[in-house]
Amino acid sequence: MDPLLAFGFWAFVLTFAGIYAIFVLGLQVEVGDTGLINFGHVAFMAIGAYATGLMLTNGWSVWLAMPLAVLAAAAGGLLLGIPTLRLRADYFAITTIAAGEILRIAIQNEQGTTGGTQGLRGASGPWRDFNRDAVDWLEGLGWDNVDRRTPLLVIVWAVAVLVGLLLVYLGRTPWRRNLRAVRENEEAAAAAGVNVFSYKLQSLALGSGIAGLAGVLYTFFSTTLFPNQFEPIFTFVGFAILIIGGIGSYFGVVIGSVVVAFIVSGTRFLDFPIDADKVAALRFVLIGLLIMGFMAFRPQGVFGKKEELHLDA
Amino acid sequence: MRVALRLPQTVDEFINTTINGLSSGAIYALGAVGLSLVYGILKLVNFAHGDFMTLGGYVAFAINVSAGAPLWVAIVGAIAAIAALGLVTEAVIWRPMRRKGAGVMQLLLLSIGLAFVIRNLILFQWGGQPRSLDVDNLQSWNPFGDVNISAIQVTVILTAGIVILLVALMLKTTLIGKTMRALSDSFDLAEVSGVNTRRVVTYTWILAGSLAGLAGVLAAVYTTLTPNTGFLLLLSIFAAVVLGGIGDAYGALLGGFALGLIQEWSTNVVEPTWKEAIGFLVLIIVLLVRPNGFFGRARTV
Repeated sequence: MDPLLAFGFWAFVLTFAGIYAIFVLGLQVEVGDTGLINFGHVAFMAIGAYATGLMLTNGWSVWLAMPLAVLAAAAGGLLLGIPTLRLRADYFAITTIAAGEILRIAIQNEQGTTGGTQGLRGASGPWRDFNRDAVDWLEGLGWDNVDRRTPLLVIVWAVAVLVGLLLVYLGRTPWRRNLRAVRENEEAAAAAGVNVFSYKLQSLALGSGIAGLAGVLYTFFSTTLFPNQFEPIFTFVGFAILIIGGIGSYFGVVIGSVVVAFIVSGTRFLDFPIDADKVAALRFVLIGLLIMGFMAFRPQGVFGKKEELHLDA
Repeated sequence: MRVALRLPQTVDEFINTTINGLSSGAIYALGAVGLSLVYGILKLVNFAHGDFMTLGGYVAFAINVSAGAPLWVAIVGAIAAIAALGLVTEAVIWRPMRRKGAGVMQLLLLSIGLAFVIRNLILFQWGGQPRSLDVDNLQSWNPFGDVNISAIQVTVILTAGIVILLVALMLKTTLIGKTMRALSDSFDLAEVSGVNTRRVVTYTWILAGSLAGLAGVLAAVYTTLTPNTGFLLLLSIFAAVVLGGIGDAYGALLGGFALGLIQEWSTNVVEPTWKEAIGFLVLIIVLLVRPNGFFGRARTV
């Protein structure tokens, strides 16, 4: 079948984009709203994913596992933030990536609990049951031949929109104004009575919780979890999305996610006259060039505002 | 966290892990001194530094395996190629960006883009399969007891050791070396003192690129070469830089060896699969406890 017309293929690409959109919305809270360059963001997605996987493997209810996994990721953000948030921006960036790698290595080594490199499969059973019920329900509504990827696609984008709306709502509260005050000028914010450290910590916890939520959905998307899915490259691709869409813009995150997901997986239907491996390499060359081009010529991205950009650390 | 303890250790095992630590530490040290100087002088946290190393390894592969030339020719070729790469990126990217007044994080994120480009062009050109250089990886000596030294380790430690001594001497005694350290300490102060900063920046890239190229070849000799080799080493090299005191070139040299030894000695106590995590833990603890590094001086910011 012509992949251009295959619903399943595009559902896969767009679900992937939606999970990335949620992940990067969390990153946007930290980077765009607060000015915290967190290179270990993927670690909190790993916490959300593995917490979900482990709870479902042990027979917990999905409805209990999901909020607990998000809370676990948020708690992880607090735990990382308390000692590290006093560091300078570039040291903080390196510390967070190191912490993320420690977690990944731990997941890899603790085979008895996490499955290590063999993978953690336990979450796929409960999800498959839920998915089958959802497909049946949709067909009961009168739709024909509902693709098995439809429910997750709808859920992922519904969550992405809800997270986006929550952030827009927070944007109208004093909370985010204080956050942005911290980003603009820490000393001035502190002098005006804003508890800078506390706000940074709250931002990191919120961003991490959102990454955890992306991790929960990723558990359903991937069905088997492997530690190498949570390598630093995942965060860096997240930064590519952030940079392309625009640091500080929630709408930019959504557009950036779709663009990057299209480059990474959506171009698979195109027939290139060279090996698939070489095409895969060129996709990431393109992502690298986009990062470089935007950083050099339009650091605020497509939808960001230049006056809100703070990259001088 | 359950970590299996591997006690008791023997003296021979300790000596073996020391040799391993010096070998990987030598590679870290070569990578760290360039990363540290570039950071100190140009305020660039270069996330592409690991990929510079990887490219050095592949240039050596092309010369040594594809073209069949001896290893020393490959080393010289890799050093020249990566020094040139440093100069090209300076001329095309970093100097124009500094002129625009780009911030630290802007340059850092740009270097991540550059890292993507280099790593994936390597993948495009050479594929993802592990490559080895044409070295004798079987020969080893057994001086006493269970102590074992391989020819590869001798090559790595000797080559890196000689180069590191030369670099330390250069930084200490030559005018350009002293100027580099002065600039790394305070760029503005050195500039108003009449230092030709542009010339020093050129030499810094030549030095950092050469050492990255050499480190990449030695990493390819010591382990195997894949497009991810350098990136996987990069975080450990950051740890070495931090351990030595960020921007302090001597410190970076010491930090490299210290980190290599800490990682390998840790395998006397915990499973070897944890040794990288131990290195990263050291990085975090040092940043939190002594942000100026163990070998660095206290300085005001």
